Amino acid sequence: MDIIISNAADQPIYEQIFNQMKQQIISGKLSEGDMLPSIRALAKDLKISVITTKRAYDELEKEGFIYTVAGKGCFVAEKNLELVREGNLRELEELLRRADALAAGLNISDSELMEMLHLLRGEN
Amino acid sequence: MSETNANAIKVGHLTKSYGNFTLRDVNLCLPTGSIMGLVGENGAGKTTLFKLIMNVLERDEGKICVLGHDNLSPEFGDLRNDIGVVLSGAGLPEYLSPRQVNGILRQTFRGWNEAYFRQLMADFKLPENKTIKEFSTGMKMKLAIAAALAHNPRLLLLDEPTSGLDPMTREDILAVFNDFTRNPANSILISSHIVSDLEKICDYIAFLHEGRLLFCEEKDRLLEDYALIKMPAADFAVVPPGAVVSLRREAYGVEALVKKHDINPSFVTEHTTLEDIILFWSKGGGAQ
Amino acid sequence: MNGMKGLLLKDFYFLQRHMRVYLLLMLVFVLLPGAMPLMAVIYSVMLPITVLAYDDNAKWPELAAMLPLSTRTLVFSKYLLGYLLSACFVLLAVLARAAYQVGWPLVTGGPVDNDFAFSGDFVSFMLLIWLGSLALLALNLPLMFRLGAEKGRLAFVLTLGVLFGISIPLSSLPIPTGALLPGVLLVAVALNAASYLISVRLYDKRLRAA
Repeated sequence: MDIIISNAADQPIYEQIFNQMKQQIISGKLSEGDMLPSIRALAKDLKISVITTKRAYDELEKEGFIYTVAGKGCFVAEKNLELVREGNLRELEELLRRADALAAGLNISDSELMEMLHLLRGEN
Repeated sequence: MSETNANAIKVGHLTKSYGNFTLRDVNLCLPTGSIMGLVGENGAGKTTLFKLIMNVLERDEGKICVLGHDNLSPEFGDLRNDIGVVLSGAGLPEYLSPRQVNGILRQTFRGWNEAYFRQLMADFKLPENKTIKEFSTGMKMKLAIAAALAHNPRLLLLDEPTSGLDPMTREDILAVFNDFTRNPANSILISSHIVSDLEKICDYIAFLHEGRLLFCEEKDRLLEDYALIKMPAADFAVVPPGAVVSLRREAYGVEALVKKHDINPSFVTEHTTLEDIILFWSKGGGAQ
Repeated sequence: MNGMKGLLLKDFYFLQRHMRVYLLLMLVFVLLPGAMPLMAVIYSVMLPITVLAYDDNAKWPELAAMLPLSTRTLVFSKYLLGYLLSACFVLLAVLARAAYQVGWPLVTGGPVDNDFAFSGDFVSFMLLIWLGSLALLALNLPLMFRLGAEKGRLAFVLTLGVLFGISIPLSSLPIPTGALLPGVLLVAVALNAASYLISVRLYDKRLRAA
């Protein structure tokens, strides 16, 4: 498993770990049942905080990509396409929420916003 | 008072004043298994805090628990066998050689591991028979660290262990501390004014400024909660004052450290480093 | 007193590194005729003070306070070092005299010079000097712990002068040295006990207030 942490990136470190592990699970580089390094070992090997690493694992577990067996460790969960879709949907929702907040700040009405979206989709 | 305590260090309402310096009402917790970085300029009270934690300095008020025991209790004397200390200004007498240090500390610490000490000497490339007087600053620090590690402590107290060292040596030393906490029972309190060193290895950051603890936070949370904002002075009025930690008025605009969640997400913010946060906090005098 | 052995070892390493010439000179004094051995004994109680001064400079006490060593151990180690060193020189002086007593006639065939002779008087004289220097140590260590190395050393020279001042009229009195021994022993023991207790307090006070 490869994890490259960039200190220059704007993305928080836990998110970098989360995304890279997620990517490797989706792509099949990490397969179902594979044991992941312990939170502490990974943190120490990446020379980052234990809390940061724990957060990445927590997020991965919350989204169903990995599971924890008490006393044994963390493992890659069964790949669930439904889950991947759900994850992407959640990301979409989050992006829309940010778009909405921006729109509110610019005093853009709902219909104007919808129009913008239509225009954008038309371009594509 | 169990052996497996949740906190390696717990300091409550600690106050100490002498001369015209006061360490005022310090509260902090170092959870077992983690590394806490203590940041602060010279004279902020870092060394004083270390001395109070080891109970070599009389406090005015407050309570300190170390490895689950009150450090005023009689058990604390024996508990020193489980603590490793490195002090930047004070150390082993220079007429000793590492071999002699081994001979002395073997008689001092209950859990002294001679094989481990010699292993560390080899790892650090320290000649066992030369006197400390002949060592470079980096070598002296490495010896001090080895001496603090070789009795297998559960807690390391490190006062400025990287100051005055070249980047390569600092890297070596930080790697040792990083490895020490592979064991979840081991914890570190480390002070430094080189913030980037702390940013690398710490789980928690505590910031002492003029005798006060301005914050003690998870490092990640700090980096996430704060952001830098840069804008023309005229536009700055729209930023809610409550969100601003401190600001710097420059010739061509304003630069401010803000709480990310208290401002409208439409503001363009920049990612902060720990160094930015510390600098702005110390200049802003902690204006909430 | 956990760690005492380590502390004494540390002091021994210091003497071995920095005091070699000094120790050699004292060894020569011990072998010399007349009252010369007494110089070695008196100077030997100055050695703990020299180590103390050196370690103070390196701020060793600050680190030592954080090791599993009690204040009592840290303080008593300096007394013990003084007792051991001075006892060694007394023993060496007595042994040297005994060796002369036996060896001189064998080698030269002649009688032993009076200045080198082994006698009960010489032994009790050396014991008296030993107890006197222990009293000197007792007077000075608290000053060292209180004043620090620099001023403490000055105080040592002063007390040495005062002690000599007292001993000169005493030695002119027609009292045999043997008769003085019990009294001086009592004074030395009392002084050391009191001195140790005071030193422990002063040591803590100086460190904990810093």
